[in-house]
Amino acid sequence: MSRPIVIQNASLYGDTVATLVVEDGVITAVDSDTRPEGRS
Amino acid sequence: MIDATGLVALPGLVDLHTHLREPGREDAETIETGSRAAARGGWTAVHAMANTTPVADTAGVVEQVWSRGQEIGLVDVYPIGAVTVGLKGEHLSEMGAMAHSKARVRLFSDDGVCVYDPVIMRRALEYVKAFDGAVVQHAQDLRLTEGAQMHEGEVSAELGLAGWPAVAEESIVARDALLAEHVGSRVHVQHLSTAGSVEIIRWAKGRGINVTAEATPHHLLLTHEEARTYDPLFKVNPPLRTQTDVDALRAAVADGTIDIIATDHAPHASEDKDCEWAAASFGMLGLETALGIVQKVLVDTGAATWRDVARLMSEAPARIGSVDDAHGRPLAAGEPANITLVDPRAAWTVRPEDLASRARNTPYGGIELPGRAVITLLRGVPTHLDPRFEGAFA
Repeated sequence: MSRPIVIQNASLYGDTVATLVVEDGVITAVDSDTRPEGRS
Repeated sequence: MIDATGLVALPGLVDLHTHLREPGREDAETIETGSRAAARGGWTAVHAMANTTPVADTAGVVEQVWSRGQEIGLVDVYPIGAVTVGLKGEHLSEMGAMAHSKARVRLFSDDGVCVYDPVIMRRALEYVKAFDGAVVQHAQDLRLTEGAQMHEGEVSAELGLAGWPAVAEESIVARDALLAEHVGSRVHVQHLSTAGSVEIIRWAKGRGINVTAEATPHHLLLTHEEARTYDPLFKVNPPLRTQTDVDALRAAVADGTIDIIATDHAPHASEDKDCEWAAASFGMLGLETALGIVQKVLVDTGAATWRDVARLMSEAPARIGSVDDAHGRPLAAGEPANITLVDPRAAWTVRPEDLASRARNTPYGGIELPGRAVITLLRGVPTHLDPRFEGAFA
């Protein structure tokens, strides 16, 4: 098992802000807070 | 933890049109230097063209290219097989053997030259149906472009350079669309450069023909006016066209007539470019600058969104290349972690000496581009990190 990579506050496709978790070469979680890009 | 505030996450980019020059011209590019350039540009997969030395027209050569790409591990390198033996346009290559090799070739092209003989083209289209492949055509009527140096028009007349008429491309695009329809096969047209070609592709799609098409970043940005510099960095095949053509290409990318953006990354050794226009080779670098140009001409102008960019530079090319089991996948749980993080506010000036390619033939030296890839992950492994993120992976 490799150390997870956590990518926080990325704008998926420029649409939705989300956190991506990557483990062992695979995206294991996408936690979207459904905020439209450009708003907080 | 990576703070990606302000970054756009896209599925790893997939280039359907890359020249890696290995084997044979390692003085211009190698699979390693080209892979590094690709990773820096945000690509996680590239399709390597067959015009190497020797030509990729046998299972042995395509397996060598595929294996070398895996060994380097910066991008997945998918070889494109030649349509004809030695790119000579006379006899079909060992397409079946390449398709069934460990390189699992699905796309075939004589790129650099056109599959000119309509009977050969028809047979190739029929043959690739056996393994759900496609013929990828470099549309250029050879007779109409003998000695041609640049787009045929007012500028070529003023400069005294032999002209390359738009019809030389359009006539082949039309012929191949009709051939694909006739035999019920799939054709992909490379580097569309004219408004007329766009109209033909639009007509063919409307008719239900299984045709796809690509545009390059340079044909979306530059025009034949650049030839006034006599700088061979702007010499490319097909040639840079008029602003009317550029506008038509941009509109076709925006409305989906053109399916993908592909680089036609074409490295050349300095002796092949640092010479007079007529003696210079055709082609320019593209892997490291493509994303910035696409942002400049499509996203920042409102012609396309980042979601469109994901379709044009990842999802659709992966589907056309039949690698969509591994690339061009959704950013969703359970999917391979092939991810490109783009900083759309990271304006940068292109410096040829800083590029990862072995060659230096970029026409964009000194030009400022608005954004760039800052992190590229291939199956979760960072293959490119902007220095500001290196600490997060230490």
